[in-house]
Amino acid sequence: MTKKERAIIYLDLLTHLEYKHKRNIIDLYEDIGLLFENPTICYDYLLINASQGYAKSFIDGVNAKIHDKIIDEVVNGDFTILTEQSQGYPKSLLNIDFRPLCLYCKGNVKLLNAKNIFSIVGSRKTLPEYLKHCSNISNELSSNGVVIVTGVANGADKSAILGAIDSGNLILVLAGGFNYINSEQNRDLINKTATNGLVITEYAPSVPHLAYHYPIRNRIIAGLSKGVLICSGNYKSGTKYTAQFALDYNKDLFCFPYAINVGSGELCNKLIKEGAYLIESVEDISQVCNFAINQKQNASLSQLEETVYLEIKKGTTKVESLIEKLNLKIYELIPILSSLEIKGYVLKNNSNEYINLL
Amino acid sequence: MLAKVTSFSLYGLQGLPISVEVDVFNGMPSFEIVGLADTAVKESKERVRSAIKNSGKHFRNGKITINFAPADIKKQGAYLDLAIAMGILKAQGEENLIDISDYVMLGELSLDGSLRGVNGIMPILISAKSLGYTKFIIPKENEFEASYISGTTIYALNSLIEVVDLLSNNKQFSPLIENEYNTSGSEIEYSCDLSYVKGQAFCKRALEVAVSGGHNMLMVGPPGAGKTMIAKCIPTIMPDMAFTEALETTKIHSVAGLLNNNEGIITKRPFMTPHHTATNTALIGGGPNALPGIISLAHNGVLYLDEMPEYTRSTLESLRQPLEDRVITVSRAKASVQYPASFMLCGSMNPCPCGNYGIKDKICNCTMSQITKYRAKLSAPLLDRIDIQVAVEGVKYDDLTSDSIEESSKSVKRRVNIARKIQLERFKDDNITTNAQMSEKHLKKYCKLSKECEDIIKTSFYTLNLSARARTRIIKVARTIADLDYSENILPKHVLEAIGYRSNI
Repeated sequence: MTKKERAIIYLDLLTHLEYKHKRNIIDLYEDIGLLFENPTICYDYLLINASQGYAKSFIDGVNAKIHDKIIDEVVNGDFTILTEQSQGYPKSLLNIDFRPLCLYCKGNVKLLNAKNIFSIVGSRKTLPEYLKHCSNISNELSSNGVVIVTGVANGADKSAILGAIDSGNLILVLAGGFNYINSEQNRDLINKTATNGLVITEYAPSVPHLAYHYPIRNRIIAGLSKGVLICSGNYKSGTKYTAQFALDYNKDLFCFPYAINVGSGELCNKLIKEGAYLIESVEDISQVCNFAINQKQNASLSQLEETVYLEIKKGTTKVESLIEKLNLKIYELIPILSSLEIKGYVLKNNSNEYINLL
Repeated sequence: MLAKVTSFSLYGLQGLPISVEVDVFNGMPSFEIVGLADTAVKESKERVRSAIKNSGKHFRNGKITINFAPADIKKQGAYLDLAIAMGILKAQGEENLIDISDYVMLGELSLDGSLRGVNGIMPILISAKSLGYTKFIIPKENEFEASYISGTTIYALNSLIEVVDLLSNNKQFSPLIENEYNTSGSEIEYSCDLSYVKGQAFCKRALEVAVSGGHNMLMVGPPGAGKTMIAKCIPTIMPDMAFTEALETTKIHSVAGLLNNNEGIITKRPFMTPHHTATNTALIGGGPNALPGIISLAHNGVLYLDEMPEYTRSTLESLRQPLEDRVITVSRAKASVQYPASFMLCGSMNPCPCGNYGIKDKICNCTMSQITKYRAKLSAPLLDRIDIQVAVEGVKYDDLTSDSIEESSKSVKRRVNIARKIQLERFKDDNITTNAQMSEKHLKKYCKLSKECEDIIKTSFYTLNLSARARTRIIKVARTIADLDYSENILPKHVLEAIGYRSNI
């Protein structure tokens, strides 16, 4: 580990110091590696721009030579640290404002510089059929070598994770330090991703998950990827920050279309009106982003399944209407519907409606 | 002079013979009761004294000592009044009584000498009969209940005078005529019928499967979808109670004092709907005398928990053991009693506190943590015991007013009856009666899956994200669906249908 990297890590560990000060300090030095040999520049800066307390605790720390101990403690943890001066630091993040000083990574760090990275985000309250669409798209992209980036919330994020977790092409961006993974609801998914994918965070291990971290964290999700898929969201949801960052960084924005008056989809419709791509299938994404996607072979259907599926495709979703139109008994129909569901053609929602997925 | 009379006292569902010994002799007038009697029994001396006097009989002012044997068991209830009164009359030696020790006497006395009905006559008579007692005198109020006990001579009388008349051969009374248990059940009328439920074909079919196999069921749906109405139809499609089942259920209701005196025996399957504020004791049973709770009253019937997540967590968790063992042991200071509690659990809940989560054209106002908290009320081990979990959709106005003909409960019941018969035949050596009660051992023995079925379950695990526990549930339900289809083996279509009834919460 170079001196530069150690210095940046030390700055990053000053968790109460604002980001802009850290950035300024790095810019003040010609070579940030000289931070500990020449601490007075930093001391003077802190004294003027931050507070006396910061300056004093910084200089005392350096004089007492405890900085090496503090850095070693973090560096020797069970994760990799990439500073902005490191080799593996994602190139896509180098261009964005407020790029993280350090990325704490668990897992396969090569994924950060993969050619094709795509992020999928959405709100916690996403309708079941959209969750299914979300995990299907995540699955198809990731199995074709596209790395999926997402957060770890329930709802859309979680189904994106579930779609991609088996292929290993998955990056999770946390909004807090690694010491707090166990307090996450989806800790099992995080731990699994840490072994076959990648979990990253810009926060030092001792920083807890705070509410305001989430929107800030979204800039990493948007910054890493070629394009962003917004699965769902209302005007108030945090997803809108990701969309905003994506536009700021000049990334492609994709949205699922929603019917009129569906609360969980109003953000998507608004973005589409403003020029985001409307997504119905994975092809819509691959054409824009130039991803090579192999056509997925759908399982073959029996004759009866075909008839039922065609009827559902026409828009008959209710079980009662299907019984009436196809003149089937309920106990004949349910096995066919279940079979279609298992084969991935339809999805049952919370109102006993079967919805066409393809 | 000494007199001995036999009576009974009730311990849980078990009647225990009590020998009432009365001694009356000259001396300072006193009235002593010994033999571990509780308050209701000790107070009986006042009732007995007045009843004897007001019946026009002489009450001798002597030294009266009454002993209950066995002396080490606490005697409860007012069953012993009649036995004490008759013992005193006999001991006074003034009555021309025949040997009264042949009879088992049960009943509470009123001050005017009339006989009052008591709770728990049915279980007492059943226990007494099995112990070899055949002649009984009981209050008239309890005659319907008692008339289903065969092979006994039971006199149901109105007052102390009538008892004296009977025992001194002054008057002739005819013993109770035995009532035949009517198994046809055609006269049973329910206020609900499946034909009144419009639409909901999916849910109705799920209900049919659940009742056929005795599977517990959970309905999830928005407010006003008709969950309660569907649940109320469960008793209408449940198979008629066999005599032994009816006796078991009646015994429990008799002990709890909930038996209607005009009914005698319970022929309708009980449908219990405790309110969600019900305490553990109300649900499970308890109190100082360890009385049965609602789950025992629902024995052989349905326990319907409306708005399930509103119940306290501990109440719901306390259901886990009885759901598994189908009996509940209630232990209290005065008694430890085992009550049967073999019921079908049917629950209903909303998808979230406001009820609109995941419904397309409605907006849910709940926060995610509220929803998680709401659903977490039903723990995984509890949900594990609920084989069928279905969504109930809200009904459109057009469906409500349509004239489409829905299948009636009667024709569904016919299919259920056949499916139950197949199960009884299958499990006759296994000490269980329904598919839902199958353990891992039975699954291996009776639910052999073809390769095709295994493949379906395997793929569904990956594509539908099922939990490992879902497998057993799916196989059990598939077995019931196969039974409804008169199929000996579980076929792929049965497995597929069972997968349709999986949880989506």
